[in-house]
Amino acid sequence: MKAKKTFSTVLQDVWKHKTLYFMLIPGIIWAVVFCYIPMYGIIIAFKDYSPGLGFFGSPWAGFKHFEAFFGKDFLRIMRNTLLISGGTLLAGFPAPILFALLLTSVKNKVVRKVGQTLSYVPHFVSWVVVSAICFILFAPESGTINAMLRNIGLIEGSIGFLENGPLFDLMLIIANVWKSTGFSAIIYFAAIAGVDAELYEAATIDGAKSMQQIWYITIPAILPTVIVMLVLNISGILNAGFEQQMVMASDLVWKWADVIDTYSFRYGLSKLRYSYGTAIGLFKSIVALILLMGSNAFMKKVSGYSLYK
Amino acid sequence: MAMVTGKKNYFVIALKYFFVILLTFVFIYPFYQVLIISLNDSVDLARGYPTWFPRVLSFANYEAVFRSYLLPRAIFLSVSRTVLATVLGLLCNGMTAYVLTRRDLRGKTFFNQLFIITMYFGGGLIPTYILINNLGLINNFLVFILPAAINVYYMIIIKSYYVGLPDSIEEAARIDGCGDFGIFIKIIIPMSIPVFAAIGVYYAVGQWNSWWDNYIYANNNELVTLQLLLMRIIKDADTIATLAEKGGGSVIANPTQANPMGVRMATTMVATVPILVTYPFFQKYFISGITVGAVKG
Repeated sequence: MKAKKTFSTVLQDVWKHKTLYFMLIPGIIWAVVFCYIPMYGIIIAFKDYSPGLGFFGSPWAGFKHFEAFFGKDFLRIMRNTLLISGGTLLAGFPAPILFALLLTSVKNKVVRKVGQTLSYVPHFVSWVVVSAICFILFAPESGTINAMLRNIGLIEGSIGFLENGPLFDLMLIIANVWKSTGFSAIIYFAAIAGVDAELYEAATIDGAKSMQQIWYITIPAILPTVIVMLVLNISGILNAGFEQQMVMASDLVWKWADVIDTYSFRYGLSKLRYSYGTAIGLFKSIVALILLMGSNAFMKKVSGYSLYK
Repeated sequence: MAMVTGKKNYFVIALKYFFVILLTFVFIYPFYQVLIISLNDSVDLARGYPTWFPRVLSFANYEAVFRSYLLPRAIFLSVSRTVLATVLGLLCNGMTAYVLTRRDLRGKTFFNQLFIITMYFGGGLIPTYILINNLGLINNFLVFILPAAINVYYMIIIKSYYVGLPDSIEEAARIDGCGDFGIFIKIIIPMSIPVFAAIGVYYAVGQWNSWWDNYIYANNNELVTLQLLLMRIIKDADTIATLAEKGGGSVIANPTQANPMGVRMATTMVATVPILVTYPFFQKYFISGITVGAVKG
């Protein structure tokens, strides 16, 4: 009797808020269709999917596709993934911090403003545009960098920056850092702006030079932000780019350019091995999830700050 | 930040300015070189790319691009997808975020989790492709719009903005007999213009720059947006031949001797200029979105 009463109160309550539930419908449809149905589609990683037979009809294949991946290309793909994202992290993580420290230490307001504004521009253009830029900068023979190196007499012929595997990876890292530095610096600009000005005044009275002020005041003050960003960056270590490779890589460099995402796409969709590609995607999702949870737990322990509420 | 310095060390100051100017140059010069290559005569480009100024000034590359039969359609499609997805995205995210911040909603935690989970785990590329295919969205304009209706990250930013709004106005409206939807349209939206502007800019820039969905889901000639057109022009020489044949073949003096980079860079400029021109106006919204997300997200 009591349960029924509660149930009817719930119904009444829901009815009272029916407009709210109606307003939620588009969002729920989106989540179910574009997120949960593909999640369900992951089962084809354990099947031999063929479009004619569909999700249900395709025969089970167990861990065949995972075994095929780990037995063959896994090491090469992981090498590329960690090389590109590790390099991007190594150069691209400190770059915005240093840029923000440098720019905020400049007194002239106009220079500061202009420098900051222009540094975001690369972030706002697409990877297609960035690739167009890379093709003029790094092209063999007439490319800007090659022409420059020839002019100052460092090289005789030309370097195929985009035609040699390891060099291509280096160019990807440079492009990644170039595109993201200015924009990633925003968060540090905000953190530096939040530092109490009185600390600097007190330090000046104590005779601290500007370098000492940066080292003893600014850096400790922005350290929590730095740690959060570092953890976020590390947990995304498997994201070694996708669009940039798809638009810039050629057959000459794919051996070095293929990372988990591009490999999953190129073998899964382009070569129509749907189940194989899905298995690789699933492998990546699981590792990424573990990394995220692990880094979040670590961060909670260190700083008492969590990404989730 | 007001940094107070004691004695001035002119060497350090000069060094700082040097690095700031050097870095700014590194960020900006590539765009400048794209511009001057696009303005250089394409036969002359065979001698190498100009560094500071066009060697032989010519607008033929732009004429070739603008005469192309593919361009007007590409611009139209890029603008349409940008406008439609931004409007739809703001409406859907704004509305969903509003419902999810209502404390009196039954099942609030469940619905919140429903969205949060999608941020941490997804089906991945291939199951999504199969779904899009089964929905009949392959080579369909809607494939640009519908998947973008909700972006959970943006929705959370909007939610955290709503939480900071005063309850009193909403309650006053309710006493005046305003329904939930009416409150959202008449009270919440007008009060949330700053966050809507920020998210709108995110949507617009993302849509304008998107080529990837175009490339895998809608690769036929009817639906080529500006970014995909540029991608095709950059990647293969055939597109330039097609461009010349059906469009401004006669514009470029010696098509066989012409360096295709001129036309490529002119197309790059066409795809970039709208961003660069509107950028000074929208950058502050972009930044406000980041700081709201970072502080509260």
